[in-house]
Amino acid sequence: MVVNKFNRRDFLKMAAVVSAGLSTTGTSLFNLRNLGTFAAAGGSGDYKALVCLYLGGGADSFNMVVPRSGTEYQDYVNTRSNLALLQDDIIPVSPLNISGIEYGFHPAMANLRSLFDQGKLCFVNNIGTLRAPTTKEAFFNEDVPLPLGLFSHSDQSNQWQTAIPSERQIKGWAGRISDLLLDSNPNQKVSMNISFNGTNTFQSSNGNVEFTVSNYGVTGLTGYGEMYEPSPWRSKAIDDMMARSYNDPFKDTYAGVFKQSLESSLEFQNALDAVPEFTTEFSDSYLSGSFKMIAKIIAAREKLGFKKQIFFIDYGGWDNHDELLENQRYLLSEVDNAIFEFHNVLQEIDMLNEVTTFSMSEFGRTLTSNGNGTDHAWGGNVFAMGGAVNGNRFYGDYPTLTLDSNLDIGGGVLIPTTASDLYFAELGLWFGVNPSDLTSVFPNLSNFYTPGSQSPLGFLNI
Amino acid sequence: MIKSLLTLALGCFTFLCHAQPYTDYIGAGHTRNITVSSSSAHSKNYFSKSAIPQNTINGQGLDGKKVEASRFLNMATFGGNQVEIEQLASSTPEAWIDSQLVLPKSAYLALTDSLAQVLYDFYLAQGEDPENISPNPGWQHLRYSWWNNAVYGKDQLRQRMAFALSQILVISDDADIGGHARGMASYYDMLIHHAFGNYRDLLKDMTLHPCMGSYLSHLNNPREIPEENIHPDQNFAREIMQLFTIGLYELNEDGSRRKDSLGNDIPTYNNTHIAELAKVFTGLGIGASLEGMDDPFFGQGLYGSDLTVPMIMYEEWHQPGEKAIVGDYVIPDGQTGMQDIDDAIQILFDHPNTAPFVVRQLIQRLVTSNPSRDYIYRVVQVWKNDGKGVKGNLAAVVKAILLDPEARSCDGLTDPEFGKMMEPVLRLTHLYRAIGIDVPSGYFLNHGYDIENYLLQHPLSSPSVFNFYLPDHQPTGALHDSNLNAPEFQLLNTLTALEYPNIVFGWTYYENAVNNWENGNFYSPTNASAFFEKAHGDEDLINQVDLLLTNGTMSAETRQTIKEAIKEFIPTLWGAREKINMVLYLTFISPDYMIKK
Repeated sequence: MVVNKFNRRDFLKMAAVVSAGLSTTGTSLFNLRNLGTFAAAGGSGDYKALVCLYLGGGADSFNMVVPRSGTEYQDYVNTRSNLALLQDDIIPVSPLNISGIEYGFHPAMANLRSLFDQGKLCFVNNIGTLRAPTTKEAFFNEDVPLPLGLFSHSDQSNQWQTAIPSERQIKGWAGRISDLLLDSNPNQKVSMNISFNGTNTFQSSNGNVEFTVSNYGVTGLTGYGEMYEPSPWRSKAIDDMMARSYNDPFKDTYAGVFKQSLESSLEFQNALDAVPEFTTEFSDSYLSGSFKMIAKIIAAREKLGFKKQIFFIDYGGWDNHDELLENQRYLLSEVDNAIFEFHNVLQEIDMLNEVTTFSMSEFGRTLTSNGNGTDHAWGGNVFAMGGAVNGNRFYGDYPTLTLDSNLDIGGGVLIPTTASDLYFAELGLWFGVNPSDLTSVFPNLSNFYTPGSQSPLGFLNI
Repeated sequence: MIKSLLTLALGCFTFLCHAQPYTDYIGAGHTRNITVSSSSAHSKNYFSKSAIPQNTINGQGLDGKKVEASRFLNMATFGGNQVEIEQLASSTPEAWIDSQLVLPKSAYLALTDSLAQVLYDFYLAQGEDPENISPNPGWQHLRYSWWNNAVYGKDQLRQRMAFALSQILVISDDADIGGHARGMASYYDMLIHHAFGNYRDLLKDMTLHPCMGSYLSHLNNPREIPEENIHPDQNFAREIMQLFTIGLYELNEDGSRRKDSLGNDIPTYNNTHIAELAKVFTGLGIGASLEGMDDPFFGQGLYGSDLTVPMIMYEEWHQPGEKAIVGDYVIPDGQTGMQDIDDAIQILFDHPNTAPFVVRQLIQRLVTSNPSRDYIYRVVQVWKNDGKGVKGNLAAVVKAILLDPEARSCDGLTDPEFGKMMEPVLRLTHLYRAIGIDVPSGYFLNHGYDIENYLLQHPLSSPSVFNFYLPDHQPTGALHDSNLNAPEFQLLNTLTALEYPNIVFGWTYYENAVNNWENGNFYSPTNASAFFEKAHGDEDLINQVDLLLTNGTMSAETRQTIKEAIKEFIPTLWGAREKINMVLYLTFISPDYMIKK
């Protein structure tokens, strides 16, 4: 059989993506509110950034963190059968706050292990969407309200991003935080929310539409803002068309996004272009490219007028009903490199303490196999990385992996023992949400936590 | 003067609107309340003809019927060109649909094969080393076929319907099947085949297609093996319910959600239903190997397999026993695997949710993002019974969708809740069909890289089974504030908002709207200069573009903006060309174009 030379995905990856040329003229359209005071404050000051790495599709995180010895490893092997990692392949970790049971990481996570050892990375285990603390008995007796659409991609990814498990909401928790802290940024033209994946629920807010960038930054508008005719005629026509009200919500929304992009993109790209090259080296992967761009934006924060930023990367491919082991090894190695390189570049620009990177995924996957993959489940494991992280620790209880345990509701679907709200609240508090505002950002939080008491989980130095 | 007449033409169409005193169409030689004074005063500026008052009065170029025809073709085809608009203007949408229903089908697999062979022969004749090329189709050849058929296929309605179905019964080349162009082409042929057929038959063939089997992993899905804690894969079982038939919540026939006594939505199924239905879709494996390979076996992967042949049941791998699926239905013990599948598909097809769930999405793809409850209800009645007692007849359903008063009435033009954003794919087909391109090689080869990469859409290339956008997507701002859905806006962000005009800049100023990686013989420039021959001056140029691109709905303000932008071009060949480019560019990016009412 003759095999065709090109696989499409390879081709797309190979093809150079060159964004359209930016015109170099144009007037500053930024509304640099309070720029004077901001500049006077100087330095990294109170800059903070949250970086959300969303592992889209539902990561099989009980193969990311695994028990590596004794009866716990044997339970793991019995339950996961043909998907269990070999004992010798597991990379040992020694969390400071765990004794008795030995754990380790997936073999593709060597760099994450090293960050863990250095105290810059932690895991939060068996975490998931909950409306109230839930036992197996309450689950089956329907004695407790449950998140809508459990095990469904659309509902569960929605709820990880909205923090509202009781209804289908549009606004995300990053969006609500950005509405709350709107005045923090001197730059009021560009949203606090920077997305690598365009429109998303997590950053959906009442304020500015999330600002979308690619690994190459932003794009300019060809033929706009140039000096020679007919460019000025065209520029004026564009300005007029996009500033007009059409008494039509479809047209007004389109024109509004267009206008906002046009006004902010040129300034944005110019600021990025002024950032000196990093000495930290990045892999060629798409994900590493995204993290490199985040580092550039952070490095350009003063020029851009940002004191608070929330970044969102939706890194998909984790819905491995099939070929789980092979796919996960590949995806984890990409994550492992990208997070490590990001850590290194943050160290280089001295911003490690100001940036917290964290993972989310809509659900964990069934502990049991469907032949060579796993299906949708509930509780899973997530990680956070940064200088503010109390690392080399596990938070939340790592569950027993024996089937029919008091958390297993069938086939290795585990009821979460830590509510995702606690994770979000910890991140929100660190980012600057006032404790008294916590419940307005996370309306479901009070079922698990009383604001004003100690930290929700304690994994960040708040 | 022309403007006032045009405003009249825009304000009401003759089919359903009764404001004007004439029963034929606006213009048509009627002169009441119309004064023509100055339209012939436009200077020619390198246009070959000038406007003549009599043409204005007799309705030429300013024809309400043409405007309505253009609007209809925007919903029913990949974009109407001048000829099609004129033909439809002298006919009716109903007659047009009836004529479309009986046209021969455009073929995807056959064209994919033949284009791969043509290019192979071409490069061979050019002296290319046979080691470096292959006559076997790759993904680009399937894409060439898609754009060929979409642009040149006569069976426009069937193809538009198949494209809509491809966004419900989603498979994507962004997966293992991406390297298997023949299999994906045969999947699309299946959508084409059933586009005017029965949804039940489509569900069955979709379920058994090996590309769907690979995409949603029910290919080689074994029965449970309790001693190894292995359970049937639930992927397809979940999505055939959530996305292909019944959705998450119980629906009324008007598409609204049913409520329980406490006013809550009622879930259609639970996780047990999924686990049970997953048992139904076990035992399916490859149906045929490629020529020269051994017979297929359960567990055989895509390599060496003929993905144009349906999957077959390997009974020993099928889960025996009862399966208690949705709708309190228990599939009995003792059946063959195929009988189990037939039962399950029938239950899902018969579920009261399936009609409103699918109908709403078809309306969203063809007509409007927010169909009224009444509109959905009316079409659902046709789904339930096509008039001959048949349920799920898609020909009757698409006809009901397109001829419904809500789709055809001019009320939609001014209703802020009516309409939708043009999908990126449709913008490009619209350019090809309405403006036109030159194809000197005789082979129109496009693989749509720009719109896929920059505008995030290409047929059969969704990022996941959830399609490019969700039916309930509401962007922040005026749409969300009005509680309006706008799925296509999920592809609009601060980056794509500017990538799009840059792409349009290429389409117009650089005459470059075609992507392929073949050699220069296969370059196909945009044919905007066709307007040189046709336009009678600025006003007429804008009118023509308005008819073709904005369905005659260009607002007075947009029109004025465009006129301002072209008024100072000097009357040279360069000026005339720039003028056309400017009009096309500004129209393509205008809110009046992007939002189709």
